[in-house]
Amino acid sequence: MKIENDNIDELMFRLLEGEITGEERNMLLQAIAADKEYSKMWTAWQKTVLNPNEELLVMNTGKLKKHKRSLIVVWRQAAVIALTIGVGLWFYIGRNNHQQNFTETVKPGQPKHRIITVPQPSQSANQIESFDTVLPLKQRIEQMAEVKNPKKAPQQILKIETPETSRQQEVPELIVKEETHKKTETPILIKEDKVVTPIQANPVSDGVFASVVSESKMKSNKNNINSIISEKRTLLSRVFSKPKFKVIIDSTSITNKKLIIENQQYKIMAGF
Amino acid sequence: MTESEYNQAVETYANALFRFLYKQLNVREDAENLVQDSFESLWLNREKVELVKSKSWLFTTGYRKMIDQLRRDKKMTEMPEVVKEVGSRVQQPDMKKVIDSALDKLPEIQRTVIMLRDYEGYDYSEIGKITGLNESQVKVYIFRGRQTMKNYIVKLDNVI
Repeated sequence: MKIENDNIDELMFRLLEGEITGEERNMLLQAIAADKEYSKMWTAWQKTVLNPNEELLVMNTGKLKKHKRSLIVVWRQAAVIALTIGVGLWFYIGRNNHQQNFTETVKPGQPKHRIITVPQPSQSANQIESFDTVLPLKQRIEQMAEVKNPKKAPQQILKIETPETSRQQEVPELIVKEETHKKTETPILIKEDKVVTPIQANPVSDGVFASVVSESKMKSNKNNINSIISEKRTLLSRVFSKPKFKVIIDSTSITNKKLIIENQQYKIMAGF
Repeated sequence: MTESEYNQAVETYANALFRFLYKQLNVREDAENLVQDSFESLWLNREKVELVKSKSWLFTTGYRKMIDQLRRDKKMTEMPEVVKEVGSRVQQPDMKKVIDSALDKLPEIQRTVIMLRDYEGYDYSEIGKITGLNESQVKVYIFRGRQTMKNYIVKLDNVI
């Protein structure tokens, strides 16, 4: 094979790549040694081979590695997840029950249940209960009649807070005072039918009265109740209320999975 | 591939892949991101890839990702600014920089095959698998690339 300018590049490339035959190799090396131009060209060809040791380009490979998790770590993570779910459910259920109580009691149209504990006029009721059972039946009936008869116990009249009853009650009281000045020891009630006895005005047994109290109190208490509900929602109950659990694929974690617990306000993501 | 084998592949091939990609992109962050993507892909496919084939798999994946990125960024392979800079310093040119600038002048495919050949020691067949070329095409690209580099170096020597 003749060495010429047309094929010198090809031969030098083959020499460089180690693909040249022995005879061609000897001829080429002789030509390179004999010709300065060829020698210069061969030097340039040799320089085209990149030296990997000259390039000290390194990167942080630590973040690429995957670290094996021990069994203890796995169990610990599982325990934390279970505990989180348990606490969340506990708050969720607790909050739901709490809300149910309020919503049942505070129906605007039908306030039949007591929302505020009204102090009971226990006088009559207690007295009825505390009748001496040792007495004969006749005496017991008389005792009960005494208690229920307001004429014999005018000083036990209870003041009712409603405007109507309070106005009605003021009249007999004043009259009683006047009559006592007139040397009469027995109090005289002019309007007996208007006097409200504790039994008649029992806020516990009288549903209408209870509803009046509820309605009058309800408007003012409506906002209070809402505020109570919101106060009762603690941080944890807000965090764990109505949670949704999702497991998504995430290539950045070791297991390629990520757990997401979220509700309308918060979102907890745990990759492991 | 087990977890320990994967970590072994990281130890062995991560820096080589980084160098290969960095020399093409000239942006460290981009090269690191591509290396990370390639190893992430290897981890996801660890059931299919054996350790002995992991290097070729990584370079193939890295090369394809790099091509995708270059297409996205519409980055041109020629770097005229660098060449001008090197050409202007005719007093004492650093040979490594001259070679680097000559390498940068090459089209992306020629640069790739030369780097796979020289840095990683792959034969034509392996380079062909990585780049999707046949052996003849690989050989031609390597020849043309080296010839361009040689002409650049000779020309620069003549100037000096």
